[in-house]
Amino acid sequence: MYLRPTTLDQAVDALEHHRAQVLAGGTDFYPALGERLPSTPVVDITAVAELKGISVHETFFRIGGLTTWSELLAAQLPPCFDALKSAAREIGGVQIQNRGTVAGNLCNASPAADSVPPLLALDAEVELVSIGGRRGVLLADFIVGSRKTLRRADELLTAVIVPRVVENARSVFLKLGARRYLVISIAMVAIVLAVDEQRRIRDIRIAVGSCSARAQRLRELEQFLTGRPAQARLDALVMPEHVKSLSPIDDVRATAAYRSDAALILVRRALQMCAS
Amino acid sequence: MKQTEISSERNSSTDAQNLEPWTNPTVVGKPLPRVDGYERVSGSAIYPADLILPDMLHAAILRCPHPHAIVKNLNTEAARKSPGVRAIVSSADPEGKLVIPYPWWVPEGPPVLLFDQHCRYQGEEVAALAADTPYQAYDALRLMKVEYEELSHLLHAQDALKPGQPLLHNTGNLVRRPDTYQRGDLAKGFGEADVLVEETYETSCEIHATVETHVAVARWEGEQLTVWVPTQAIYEEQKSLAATLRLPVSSVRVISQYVGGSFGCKAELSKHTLIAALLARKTRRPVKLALSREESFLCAGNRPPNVMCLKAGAKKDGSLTALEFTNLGAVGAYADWADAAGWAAGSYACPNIRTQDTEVYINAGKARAFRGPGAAQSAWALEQMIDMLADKIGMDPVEFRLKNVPATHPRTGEPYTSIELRECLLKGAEAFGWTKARVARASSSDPVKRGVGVASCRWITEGGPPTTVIVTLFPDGSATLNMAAADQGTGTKTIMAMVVAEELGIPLQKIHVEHADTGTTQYGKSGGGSHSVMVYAPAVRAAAADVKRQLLEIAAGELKRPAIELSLKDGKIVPVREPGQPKNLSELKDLTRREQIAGIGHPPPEPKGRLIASFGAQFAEVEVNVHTGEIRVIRLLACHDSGRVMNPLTHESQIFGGMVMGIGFALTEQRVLDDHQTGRMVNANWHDYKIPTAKDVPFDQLCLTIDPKDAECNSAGAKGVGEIGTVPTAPAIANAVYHATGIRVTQAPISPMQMLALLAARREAR
Ligand SMILES: Cc1cc2nc3c(=O)[nH]c(=O)nc-3n(C[C@H](O)[C@H](O)[C@H](O)COP(=O)(O)OP(=O)(O)OC[C@H]3O[C@@H](n4cnc5c(N)ncnc54)[C@H](O)[C@@H]3O)c2cc1C
Repeated sequence: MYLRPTTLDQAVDALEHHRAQVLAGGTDFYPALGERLPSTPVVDITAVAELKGISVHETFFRIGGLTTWSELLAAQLPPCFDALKSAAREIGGVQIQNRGTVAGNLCNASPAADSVPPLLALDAEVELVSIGGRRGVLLADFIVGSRKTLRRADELLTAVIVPRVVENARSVFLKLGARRYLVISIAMVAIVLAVDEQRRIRDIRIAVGSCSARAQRLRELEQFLTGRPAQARLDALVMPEHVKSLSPIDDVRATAAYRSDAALILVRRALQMCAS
Repeated sequence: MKQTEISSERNSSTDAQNLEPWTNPTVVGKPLPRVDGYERVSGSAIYPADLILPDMLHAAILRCPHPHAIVKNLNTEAARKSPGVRAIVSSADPEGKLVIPYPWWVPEGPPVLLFDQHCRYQGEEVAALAADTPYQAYDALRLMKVEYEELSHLLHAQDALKPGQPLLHNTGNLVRRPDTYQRGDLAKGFGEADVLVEETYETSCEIHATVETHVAVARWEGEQLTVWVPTQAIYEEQKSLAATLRLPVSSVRVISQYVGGSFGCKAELSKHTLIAALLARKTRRPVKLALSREESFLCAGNRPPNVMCLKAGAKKDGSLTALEFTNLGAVGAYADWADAAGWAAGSYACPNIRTQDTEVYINAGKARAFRGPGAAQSAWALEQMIDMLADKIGMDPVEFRLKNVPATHPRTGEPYTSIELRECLLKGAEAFGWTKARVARASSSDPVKRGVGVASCRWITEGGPPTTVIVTLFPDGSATLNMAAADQGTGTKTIMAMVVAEELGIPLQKIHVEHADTGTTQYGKSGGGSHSVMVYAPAVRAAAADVKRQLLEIAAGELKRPAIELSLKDGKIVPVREPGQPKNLSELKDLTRREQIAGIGHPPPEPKGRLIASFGAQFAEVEVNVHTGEIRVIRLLACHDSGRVMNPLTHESQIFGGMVMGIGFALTEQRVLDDHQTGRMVNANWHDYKIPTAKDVPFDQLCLTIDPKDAECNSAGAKGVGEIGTVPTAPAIANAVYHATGIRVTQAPISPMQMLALLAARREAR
């Protein structure tokens, strides 16, 4: 069964009553199926207008779940979103960016999902809606493992909420793959860095993806760097033990050892770019 | 005036075979766009995959998921009853035992059964079926029940000849007797050397990765079979199909309209084509069989992996004294070539050489010819070895190569019709700014290191007969070119239309080029070995010259002038003495009465006692990030001697395309087999098998040429260019990486991981 509701109410209703799978841009959905047909009913949410668009509120930004990467790239957003935009630019090619959505990337919850580190670094929260109501979950809690989230089958991810805390902070996203683009990350890093008047680090968030079952914040390193002057050679402060909390695996794209090395280098490089 | 007379005399010569290369061509040599460019880019070109015939069925193949297994039991009952299924073929049918012939270039090998119960590679064909829609076909495949007995598998050439390894064929794992070549006295050569280097190089298995996968559409009309396949070799496929199906050759028609990339993997009869024909015969309906991307990764050919051990010596003055080159290559599960060493014997003027090629079977998809087969792998090793020697005696690598450029073919002693390798190196180095780039080194604190490297190449091409081409001229001044050369994307149709335009003086727009079709085009050599231009340009020219001769004879009769006083210009007959009074072809009554003039052409035989080869040198600049191991090719420059450049655009496309493939070969492309457990290919998709994207290719790419004005090679003065462009790129990149980092990476591809590991190993060693 294929359903294409036009309102959020209809959509969650369909999810509740048909035990259906959600289809957004389909860029993860169909490749995962391979040659098989979907085994359950499908609710295509692309006609639900309430799920689209980016809006600015007093204390937060709201990015509709159906926002595509191309739409995000076209939006006027403050510098703290630069990292997310860089990630958007690297998600597949333009065709994929035209179809792929923010919610799809998060709900698919691949360890290599490019938007996750930048959104973790923004302390983003996801909004989930079912016929039972609405709840908010921190992204850091939402993704619990490789391709595992807290989303219940009857819930839709309707929006990503980004608090307006570090709006003018600099942010950087770096991705390493086996070639320049159209590539699944071997490792990626997002950093959001805010300074005080003395150019000391006031608030820093560092997230690493593709190096553990789910992307992680490097909290110890963040604490270690907070309060230090944001100046050249900040990278020199980052030591291998700062990335010890990562648990990369060997796979067809890279070895675990290479991933650890690469994560360390990327963190240093991104820090340097943010600080200078 | 005098000159026109001479040329018209030559043009009207009845001996079209003895044409001299053009001296001042007006069409040939111009950067003209493709004659079929619009069709190709607009989507109106009909590739076999686009073909929809009335009542056509769609077929799919059940493939063995294991690298080595025996089919114990196959139950097709459920599949047979599945909706839309019209026919099934499997090892249970007599057709299952049909034997596919090897292509002409593979001398022999164990019989290739259509459906062998002993499956020797992942993806080996087990059964196939045809259904009303492709989806029904794939659904039905899933209902086939197969019981496999899994056998232990063999994945590496190095293990193939060890005791206790699984045997792929009852003849063993050795493909053929090792091929050895020797000249001079190796021990003496090493004794004379001032420096010696020894190194082992490895290349990875590279997949052709053509944009269009393999496809076949088959239709029977009575006992007459027509097959549409994107192929370089319509006549090769026709002959093989006829032999396999025990049909008269004339009962099989093979049509190749457009080819969406081939690079050598579409030049022989494939099982899927035969399967489409069998299912079409069973159902008496047309059948289309299109391979998926995964299937094309597993069983549609590849460049085989090689392990190459080299030892070389040179004197302080840069002259090579000895080279020993031992190669072990894995052809896959059935015979093809995995040679590399033998190529090196013809590259440089080295008096003492011993090469040996040993080829073995492994449990993986079979190799097929792949753009510069053997030569690309050989160059990866040899061109790096040359760099090592140059480094050791402190000589510039360009200078070292110049020292060892051969005067004649080092293996046979035969002279080349032309050889501009020296000039390629010199002009290329100059344009690249080699000397300056060689000394400029990045500051030691910068993690990004820059380096430049060079490699040279040579590719022997053979033109000549047998091939027949027909050019037909109509009274309205339009012409049809009928030839068996399929345009695999290289621009063959464009170039041959240009030859007709040159010879007959009619505009390109008025020339129609027929598709390669054994039903309508005469026998012609397949497009391979980079020889299309060498075979077909002289043949087309001869056919056009034949037309011209007949036309001028007709005109002579009507205008009452000797034919030698007439010439053909802009589609009109021009009397040499009264150029102001041209006559339209339509005014020739005899021509109108005849309706058309057909000219026949053959390529003249190859020049005796001479070899024809193309040469080139390529220069690469890279950036290596020593923190992450990332390598970026930031500049590539090629300087090639391809004889006459028939069309600079198509020539450049060949070189650039070759270099892009070379970047992949050097840096990212690699078939990865699961060593630990299943033995299966783990990256049989474009996500994980990485060909270079536009961003991986340097913006700064240049292709220079040197025209040797070769009057001997053939009447077009052109040599081959299809393959050579990819041969030196990878070693040039590897040499640049060495220049940047001081690290010799012997194993292709140079992944960032490997690079980083080698950098770390060096740090530890220090
Ligand atoms: C060629 C190619 C290249 C790619 N490259 C990259 C890359 O470089 N980096 C990267 O991170 N990703 C990449 N992707 C993956 C993919 O494009 C992204 O993850 C994209 O954002 C997914 O969005 P979608 O709308 O297409 O999701 P879909 O495929 O429609 O859905 C993905 C999953 O999320 C669920 N879902 C979707 N929307 C919702 C919702 N609102 N509520 C609840 N569940 C939902 C679906 O049920 C499904 O399980 C690539 C994909 C392809 C095909």
